Amino acid sequence: MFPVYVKDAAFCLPADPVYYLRTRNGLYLVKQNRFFRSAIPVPDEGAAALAAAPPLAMAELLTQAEEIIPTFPPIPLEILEQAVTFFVNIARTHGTEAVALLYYDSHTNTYRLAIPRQRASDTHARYEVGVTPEGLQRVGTLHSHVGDAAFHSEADRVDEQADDGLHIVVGLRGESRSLACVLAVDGRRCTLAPATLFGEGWTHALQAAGQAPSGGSERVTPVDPAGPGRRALEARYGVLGSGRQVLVIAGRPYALTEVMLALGLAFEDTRVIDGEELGGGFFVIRFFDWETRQVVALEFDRQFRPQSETRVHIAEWMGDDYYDFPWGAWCAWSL
Amino acid sequence: MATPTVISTVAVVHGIHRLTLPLAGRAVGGVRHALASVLNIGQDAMAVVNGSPVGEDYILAPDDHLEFVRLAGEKGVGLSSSYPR
Repeated sequence: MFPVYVKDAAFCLPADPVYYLRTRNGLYLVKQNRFFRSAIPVPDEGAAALAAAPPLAMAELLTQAEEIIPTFPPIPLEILEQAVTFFVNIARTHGTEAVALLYYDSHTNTYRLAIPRQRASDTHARYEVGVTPEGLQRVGTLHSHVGDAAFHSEADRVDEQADDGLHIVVGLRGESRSLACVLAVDGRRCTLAPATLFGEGWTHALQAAGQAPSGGSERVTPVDPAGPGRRALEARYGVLGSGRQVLVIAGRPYALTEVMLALGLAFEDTRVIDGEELGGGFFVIRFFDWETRQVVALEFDRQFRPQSETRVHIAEWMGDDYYDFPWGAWCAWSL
Repeated sequence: MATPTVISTVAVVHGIHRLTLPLAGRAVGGVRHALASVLNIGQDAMAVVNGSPVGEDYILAPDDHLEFVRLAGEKGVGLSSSYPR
């Protein structure tokens, strides 16, 4: 389906949008379009599939380096200002991150922003993509970090793995704003200087944006899965799962399963999580109660006498995943 | 007199990629497999032809517009999370 060229002394760059290139140091997949040119090594299995080509004298072949070269038409500063204004307004009104999609209209040679439907918290944003509007090409994403600098997190990198294009992060930390840009192709990433995309003046546009209202906020649904119960429980006892697995009680170390036995709570429908010494001869053990689907924090003294009990529904940790989880009809063996 | 060869092409789109290829008569599943690495198509991308979702056995017709649609994405600080959806 795609031609295979040989990189030797006579090689000239073909016009094909996609082609394979046999080189001295292996086979490369070359893509070239209006937005970038890339040459990425083909994995061994792919190279084997193309081995039907006639053998070549390796000495005659030239080497090739992995490369990603941006060729994007310049992005007007207005696009950056629109995006940052939207992000600033969402940060002010919802306190959350936000995502915008970047499209290119090849008929008018202009860029457009679109605000996808999304659910966002202060650390994450899950957004819908969907079918590309007629006449446009989806060429990238922009999203904000709230209370943090601009950088591509592990989650961002995962998101870019199967989404070739431009991915821009806008950092909003107080009055400080920053920008990080990468061009991702085949899971490889090329860091770009913002001036490469926006030209000079991008720093002023970045700082000046956000003074006017913007549309699109109705497409962002803020979510805060950490409800008041979870916040209170973790404020008192620490992040769930961060406690100890052994408690020293009256001078003797107890595994948490032993503590549950001593408390009379070692049932099939309880799953111990962690424990902690609270001081003054008091302790807490946290476990999950499958039957009520609650996280339970039980305080007790060194004689294993319960002192207090706090229960918080597991949905405050799971968010919407709670509703997708296959809980099934309750019985101790169904989960 | 030789009859001119008619090349029946299909427009294939995935994100930033847009190619016109002689794929009429081929099944979407085979096209997905053949282009997965070339267009960097994610496993969960949905095949849409002329605006309508199609199955992997759909046979492409001349001038069809096939898009492998990314349904959703997730950005975030730190490791990928399963929420919010």
